[in-house]
Amino acid sequence: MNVIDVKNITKHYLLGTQTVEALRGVSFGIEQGEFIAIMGPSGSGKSTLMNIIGCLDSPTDGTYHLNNQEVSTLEGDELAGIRNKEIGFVFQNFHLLARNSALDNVMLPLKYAGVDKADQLKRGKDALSQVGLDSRMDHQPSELSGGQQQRVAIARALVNNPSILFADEPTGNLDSQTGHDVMQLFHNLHQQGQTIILITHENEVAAEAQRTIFIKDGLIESDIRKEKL
Amino acid sequence: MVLQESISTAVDSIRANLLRSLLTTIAIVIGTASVIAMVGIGSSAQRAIDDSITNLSARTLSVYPSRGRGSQKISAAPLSISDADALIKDKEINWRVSPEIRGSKSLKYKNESISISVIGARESYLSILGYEIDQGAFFTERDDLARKRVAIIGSSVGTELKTSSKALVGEDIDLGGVTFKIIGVTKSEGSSGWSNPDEQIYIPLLTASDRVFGRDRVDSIRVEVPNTYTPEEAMISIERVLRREHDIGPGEENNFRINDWSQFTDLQKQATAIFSALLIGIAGISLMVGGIGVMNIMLVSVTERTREIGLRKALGATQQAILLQFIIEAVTLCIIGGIIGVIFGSSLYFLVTVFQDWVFTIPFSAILGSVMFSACVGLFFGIWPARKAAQLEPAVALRYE
Repeated sequence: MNVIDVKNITKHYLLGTQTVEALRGVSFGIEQGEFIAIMGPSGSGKSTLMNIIGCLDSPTDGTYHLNNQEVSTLEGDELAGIRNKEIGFVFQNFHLLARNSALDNVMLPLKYAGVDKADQLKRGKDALSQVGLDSRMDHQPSELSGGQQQRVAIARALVNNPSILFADEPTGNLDSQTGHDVMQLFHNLHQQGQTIILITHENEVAAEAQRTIFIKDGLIESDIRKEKL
Repeated sequence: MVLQESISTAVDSIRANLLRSLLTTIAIVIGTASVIAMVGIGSSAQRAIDDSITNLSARTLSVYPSRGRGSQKISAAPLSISDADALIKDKEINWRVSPEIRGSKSLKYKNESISISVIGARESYLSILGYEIDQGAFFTERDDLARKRVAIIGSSVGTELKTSSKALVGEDIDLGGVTFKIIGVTKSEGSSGWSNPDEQIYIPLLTASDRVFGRDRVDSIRVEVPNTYTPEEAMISIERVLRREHDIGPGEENNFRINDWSQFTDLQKQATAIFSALLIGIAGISLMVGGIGVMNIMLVSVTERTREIGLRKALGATQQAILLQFIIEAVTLCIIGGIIGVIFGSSLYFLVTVFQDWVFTIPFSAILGSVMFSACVGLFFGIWPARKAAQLEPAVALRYE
């Protein structure tokens, strides 16, 4: 069963008086439990595709089914609800709230989901121990290393049990050793059945995934599945 | 749930930019402080006026001849010494009565000559008005009946004669061609607005009537009402006695008038109200200016935190949640300003009460009202920046540099 089903998606921007065709008809499906990398040079439409799959933006045309639900026609707060429940984001520069503790950062999606306080604490702590940070719950981001900050962000992405874990250049701001540790964490999550989409321009990182989609000039250039070893 | 989160986020954000936040609220602080100080000072001043009136003035009624205005039926009927005597003889109320003959005369002492307000009255006059003797003594009933040429001067008369009032006690002066001996000086009372008792000279009523002014028509009659009667009861009694004295038939209008001090009080109340309204207006403008300041800083805050807003939206914050967060921040900022303003205003008011020897009472409604109003200012001026934040596109906001 496909978690994500994208059919003939296009996206047009109006830049001044000029119409920019960021995506010119993209179709693919992603199965439950896949670990997939989306690659492409800057300006390829990779970011636009990511925004649409991440429900941060809507396509100009085409259909997008997430868990068999048509989401391409949704707007504003409906999309916010989808993001809250179905998608966990991990960003290149972590995007943690500087004045909040690790635990508070992890609990943030639960607050917007309207989960009660006791449940927030329990699930927040569980998510932090899942990434091996149960001893750092009360630390603020400034008191954590880059790798630890990214693990807090991953815990935050996982806390609402999303259908998809969405990671945008997750190792871009990390040294190679911590980057490797974070990738290991993704592999562990994948082993447990988590669907993961990785956006990257680094071949090494993309090589960790089972499948790689290359985007160029708003179209899919190639969609390669690695043979299982 | 979301509300609680929004409040703690708002407080965090205000704390992170503490100096900026406090500077932003200065106009709110000034506005609220002036409201509180005004309401406090206003109510204390009112109380002080009320107290002084119940202490003295409301207990003293003044009877004046009617100025024959409009109605021709009222013939000019002056008040006379016999009217006052009739009041004294009436025993229904044990009031104290003194008529007053008033006029201006020239006073000569050695080479100095000044024009002075002369008051001829009974020996009870001074205490009816609540004045006191500083040196020497007031004249007695015997002095009055004997038409003695004795005088008591106000505390600043001596200065006008290039000497001191106290030095004049026992001296002879010339008052409108008649020689008087000064036997006392009153304590300084300060100007009452119309006349200054410190610049007057007091002589016995009959001396004034027979030797100085040559008339038994009096300018007013002062009546001190004992505490066991209300001024209204006393006014009815005075009316009864004087209507009988003046032969006024049933249905005819009085040809005299009785003033209590309520008219004067009303005037003062009106003045206080206008003054308060003016200051409340200034406070209102200051709160508006404060609101615009808060709006400005909120717009800066929204811009600075664009990426945070993007993140919150990516994690599932609805437009309403973001709107609420920023409105609550603006309202919290204004409430903090309001509370600081209440503290400043109360302190200012407290200082004034200490110096003026007033009672310190701030109505709780004023505190609540001004803080609530500050909150409304925050609500009103916070809406636009908050809407701006709520309408940010998450994909754009996340990548904002």
